[in-house]
Parts: sequence; structure tokens; C-alpha cells
Amino acid sequence: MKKFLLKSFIFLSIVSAAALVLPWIGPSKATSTEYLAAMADKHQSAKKITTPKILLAGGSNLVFGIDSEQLTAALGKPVLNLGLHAQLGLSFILNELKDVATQGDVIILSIEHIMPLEGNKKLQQMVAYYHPKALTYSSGKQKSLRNTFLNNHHIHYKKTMMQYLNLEKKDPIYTRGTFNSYGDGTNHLTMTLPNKLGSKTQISTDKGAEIKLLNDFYTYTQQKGITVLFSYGAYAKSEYLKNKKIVTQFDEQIRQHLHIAIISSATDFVYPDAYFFDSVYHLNKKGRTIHTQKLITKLLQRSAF
Amino acid sequence: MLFNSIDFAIFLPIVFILYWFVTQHNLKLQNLVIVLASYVFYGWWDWKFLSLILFSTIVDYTIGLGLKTAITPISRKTLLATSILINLGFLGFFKYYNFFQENFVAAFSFFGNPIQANTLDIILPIGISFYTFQTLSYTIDVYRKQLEPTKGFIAFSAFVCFFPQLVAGPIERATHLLPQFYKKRTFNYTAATDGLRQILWGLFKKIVIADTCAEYANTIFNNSETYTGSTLIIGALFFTFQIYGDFSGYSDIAIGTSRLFGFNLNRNFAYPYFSRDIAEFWRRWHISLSTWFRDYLYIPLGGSKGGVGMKIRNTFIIFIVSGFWHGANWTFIIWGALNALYFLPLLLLGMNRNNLGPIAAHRFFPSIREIIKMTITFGLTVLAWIFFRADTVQHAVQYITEIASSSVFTFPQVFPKKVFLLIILFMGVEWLGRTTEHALAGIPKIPTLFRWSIYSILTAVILYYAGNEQQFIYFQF
Repeated sequence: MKKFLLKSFIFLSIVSAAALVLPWIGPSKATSTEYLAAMADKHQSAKKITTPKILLAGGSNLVFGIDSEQLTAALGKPVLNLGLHAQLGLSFILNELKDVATQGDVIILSIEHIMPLEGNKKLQQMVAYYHPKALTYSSGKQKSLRNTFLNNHHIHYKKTMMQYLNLEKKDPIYTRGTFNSYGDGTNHLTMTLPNKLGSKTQISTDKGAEIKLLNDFYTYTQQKGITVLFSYGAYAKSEYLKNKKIVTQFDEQIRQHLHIAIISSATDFVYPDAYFFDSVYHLNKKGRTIHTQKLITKLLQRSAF
Repeated sequence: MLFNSIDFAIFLPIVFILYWFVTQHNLKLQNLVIVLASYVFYGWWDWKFLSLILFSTIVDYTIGLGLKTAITPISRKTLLATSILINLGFLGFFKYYNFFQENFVAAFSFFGNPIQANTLDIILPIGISFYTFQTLSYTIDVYRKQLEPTKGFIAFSAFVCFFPQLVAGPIERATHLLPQFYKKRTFNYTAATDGLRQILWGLFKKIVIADTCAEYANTIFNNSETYTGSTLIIGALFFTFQIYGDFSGYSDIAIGTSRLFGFNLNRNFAYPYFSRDIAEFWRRWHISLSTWFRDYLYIPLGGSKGGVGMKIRNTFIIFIVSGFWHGANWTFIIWGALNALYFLPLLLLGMNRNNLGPIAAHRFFPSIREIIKMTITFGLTVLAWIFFRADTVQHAVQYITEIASSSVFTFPQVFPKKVFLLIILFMGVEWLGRTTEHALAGIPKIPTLFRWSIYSILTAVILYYAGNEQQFIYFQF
């Protein structure tokens, strides 16, 4: 028995120590090519901006669809594109904004139709690995302390192993290196892209909970002296036509109940499929240029600018 | 509690210490620790269903004692019938009530007499099919006078609820497991270390193989109408390895855990995907269930001793009942019937016991003939698994129809190379260990440093793939 216990103890100690310690002494997070690691970089950029700024918030439609440099030049205020992944969820993104936005800032919310309220827990934890403060962006339901610690450590372990073994995904588009200093994705601008529109996800019809959350956020921004505007994101025409009824219902719902100013109609940013590449939300170079111009025109009509 | 959870990783050492150190090797106390630990283990999922296990334990314990004192055949038969009725009654209610009700309604509607009936919102208690069959084996063996009824209630309770095999087997016979609760247990270093190796391999099978394959199998089966025939074959292949990794992984962990406590459980899997014919497959797959049905259903029905008609009838009965045991769905019944169809030609031609010896005995590689036989058997098994995995019979038929279409000649839409590589590695290790109890059983012959490196790599890979504590498929049966 003694021999068994001793050997088991030695083996478990080695394995546990390796599993616990390796992630902390492993390759630096800063060298990771993980797409979601860009959140840490974006927050670093936010810290460097000391004057009132324009924050773009939403999912990946913003990553591929906006030229923030052009937006900065046109609007005369520094722009930071916080867009990353729609599946992080609305609640997460609004909490992230509370962390970044300060008095005098203008927030432009560009939310995809498919964005869930709570978001994907795994994605949120993955983001938190690179940007630990993101743990506080998750809502109560997602925050189970035990799971968060274990899952976070597990992601830590997994990521370290991938970096050690050089197994990190080397996707040319969905990579940390795609983002410029404004937070926009740029790699897709120089590549020959396919035109296969995936991500045709079912849209839920009742957005009551989302609207309530947005209205609560609006109250918060009012108290903090922050301006917030709502905009539809870029959307492929074929998908719009398929979901026209639901999109119209959603538009009626938000026009009736949302307290945030709406700067576009449901069809303003619907573009031909040829302007998109791998998803009905991801614009290519041409689409991005047109969309940025249209957004600038819409924004310049607002008193905030 | 799941074997692949942090909860179990904490639970197991605690029980181990209590069992070997706190009880001071007192047999009664050790059995009590097992009963309490097993109730905690089961109650972790839902404590309310503990009453079912307790009730089943009391019923069969009492009936067992009753059988000893009952003299007349009528009273003995009444006691046996009571046990069967109560045990199968529970199983029938929890598992099959809605199925029968829905089918009765459908049958009445078909014959022009529509009736209204509401299904019940019944939660299936985890592992009910397993412990019901285990307790039934006790009563039947006592009735047949193959076993003396036990007087020790704690020992009997421990036999019914022994946590390593409580929720997904192996289904133990009272004649094999119950006497072990009466034997003084001494710690056996060789058995315990081999138990740990078996647990490690079981975790690898479940977490690395089964859960990884499950992701792809679920996506393909759940959206089968959008995939080409070639992709559907990939889906069926992944499910084939998912179910094997999942269930045999569970059995490995169960057997390995039992060995830590000085118990010896029956083998449940013996490298079934290397079988050379379907009869051999069924001697190697879910052995504890196959032998249960053989001994308590097939042989009492006359087995294969009668004429051709009786052989056909009995084969269909045993395979269909075995399919139905897995769940209240026509898909399982068809799966059972299909296996009966595979098996019957072998039985009728007297070829069902052709492949009793080890595969490629004394050779590293199988012969061409063996490869052909294994491939055909594997292919038939994959085809049958489509029914097992499909949501409905119609779903399975559509799935197979698409496979039979010209789209099978296109390149699959889903082709994860890494997963294929994992499966090849996994089957390679299984092939190397095919003559032993489990794939890592031969490892002690390897030099220490190399051996420990293998353990460490396996653990690192398991930890890498861990994260989602996914339930075992067989819990639902």
C-alpha cells in the first residue's frame, strides 16, 4: 500500500504541478496569434486615448466592415473599434462598454441580428484568458466561480500547450495580427476572398429582453454623460430577403420600445451579396468602403457630430 | 456524478482513504462505506431517485430470504414473479410508459378509432436498466438454487449499488460479485496499479476519442439533410467510435476503480471492432448484457437447441429485446432486428463459433483474410449504428438513402484529419493490446522511464481535451 500511495503521489504531483505551473511559465500571451486575444490589445489602445472618443461596439460585422481611420478623419474624434465576436453576447458587450466608455464619449452600437443576450460562455472565458477583466463582463448566470476558475485554467493549459507545440490555428483572417491600431480587421483587404456566405443562423423573433437591456444601458450612459446611438450592421441582401418578416418585426419592436436614438433603417445597410465574403455580416474591401461612407453620412446628420 | 468530472476526482481518493484506512479492514465497515459512497455518488445526480434503489434493494433482499423458506413450487414461483413484476414494473413505467402509450394511440388511430391520451413527463432514473437487471439476476439465481440468499443487508445493498458500476455496468451477476462482499479484502498492489492504468485508458477513450467524435457525429446526424452521402459516412464512422469510446471507456473506469477497492468485475468489452464476424462481435461487445440475456432469456427459451424455426424465433427475441433494453424507440428495435439478421446465417450454418480464438494469434499483422472479415463485420456494425443513433426510423432511412446516392462519390464536406489521426492512433494501441484485458495491460513490461512518459503524455492529452464534462451515452439506458 505504501509503495502504491507513494508512486501515485509522485505521479499525481508531477502531473498536477505540470498542469498548474506550465501555463504560467509557458509562452507569453502577448505572442499568441489567437483572434480573441485582440480584446486585450483594443483595451490597451483605449487607455492611450485621453480625449473624448467614438467607440464602435458590436460583433465581427464591425471588424470587417469599418474603416475607422476614415471615420476619425470625417468625424474629428478618435475612433476605436471594439467589435470582435457576436457570440460574446449583448450583455457582455454592454458591460465591456461600461469599462471603457467615459464622459463625453460617443458609442455606436452595431448589433448583428443573431447576437445572443448572454453569449457563449467558452468564448467569454477564452477572451478572459487574454484580458482577465473580461471575467467581470459576463452576466451572473455565467459566473459560477468554480467553473470560471477551472475552465479558465483549462483554457490556459490548452492555449499554452498549443503555443508550445506550435499548434495554434494559423488562419490568415481570424488572427490577432489582422487588427490595426483602430481595432479594424485589415488582412481581408489584401486577399483574394471567396464569396461563400455562411453563418445563416436563425434569428429569434422576440427581442424584448435585449431591448430592456439596451434601455438599462441607455439610462446608465445618460447618468455618465455618454452619448449612445443604435445602428444596424451590414447585412447581405439574400439573407435579408429570407428574413425580411422577422427583421421588419424587430425593427417595429425597437422603434416602439428602444430609448436609444436609431440612426439607420433596417434596410439602409443591406448590401448585395457580392460585397461580402465568408458570412452574411462580413464585408469585403469594396463593401467596407461603401459601408463606411454611408455610416459617415448618417452620423454627420446627428447633432453629436 | 460523472467519472470524467472534478467531483469524482475528489470523491474517489476520499472514499479510498475511508475504505482502506478509517475502517481498519473491518469488512462490515468497508461494505458500509461502499453503500454510503454509492448513495452519495448516485444522489449527486438526483437524490430523490435513491428511494428507488433502496426500494429495489429491500424487495429483492426480502424475496431472496423468502425463497429460502418457501417450500412449495407455487410459493417460490409467486415470489419470483413478484420480484420480476416489481423490478420490470419500475423499468416499464419509467422507461417505456410513454412509448407504449404513444404506440397504442397510433395503432387505434390507424384502425379508425382515434383515442386521446396524454403522455407523462417522466424523468428516466439514471442506470435503472443496469441495477434492475443486476438485482433480478440475484433473485433468479436464488430461485434456481444456484446461490444461497444473503442475510447481510449491508452486503446486499453494496452489491446492488456498488458505485463504480451502478449507472452503466458492467451488469454483475450475484454469483460473481456478491460473494466478494463477504471475502476479506487485502490491498493488492499489482491489481491496484493495473486498475489505475485501466482508468487512465478509460478516460482517454471517453474524453479524447468519444467526446471529440461526438462533436462531429452530433453535427452530422442533427443536420443530416444538408450533407452529402460521403459526409454521412463520416458521421456514422464517428458515431461508431464515439459509442465505443464512451461505453467501453466507462467500463474501463468502472473495472479499474473496483480494483482499487479489491473487487474484480467482469470484462465488458474485448476489442469488438476487431471481430471477424457478427457472432464474435457480440461475444466482445457489452459482454455483461449479452451473457445476461443468454442465461436468463435465450437459454430458458430453448436457446439454439430446437429446430430451425425455434432458432430463428429465439434469435429475434433476444436481439429485439436487447435493442429495446437500450431505449423506448423503434430505432433500437430495428437495430436489434438488424443484428439478428446479421447473426442468423452464422447460426443456421453452424458458423457462429468459428472465431473463438484471439485475432492474429502469435502474429503482429492480421492475414488478408482476417482483414477482409474484420472490414465486412465493421461495415455491418457501422450500418446498424445508424439506426441506433438516428432520432427516428425515418431519419435512419433517409440517412442511408443519401449514403446510397451518387453524392457518396464526392469529397466529404467534413473531414477532420486530426480526429482521424487520433482514431488511428487509438486503434493502433488497442491492436497492440488486443490479447490483454485492456489496452494498457501490457505496459508493465516496458522500461520505467518510457512507461511513465506514456502515462504523462496520456494524462496531458486527456487534460487537453477535458473541459466539457459530457455525460456518458449509456446513462440514458
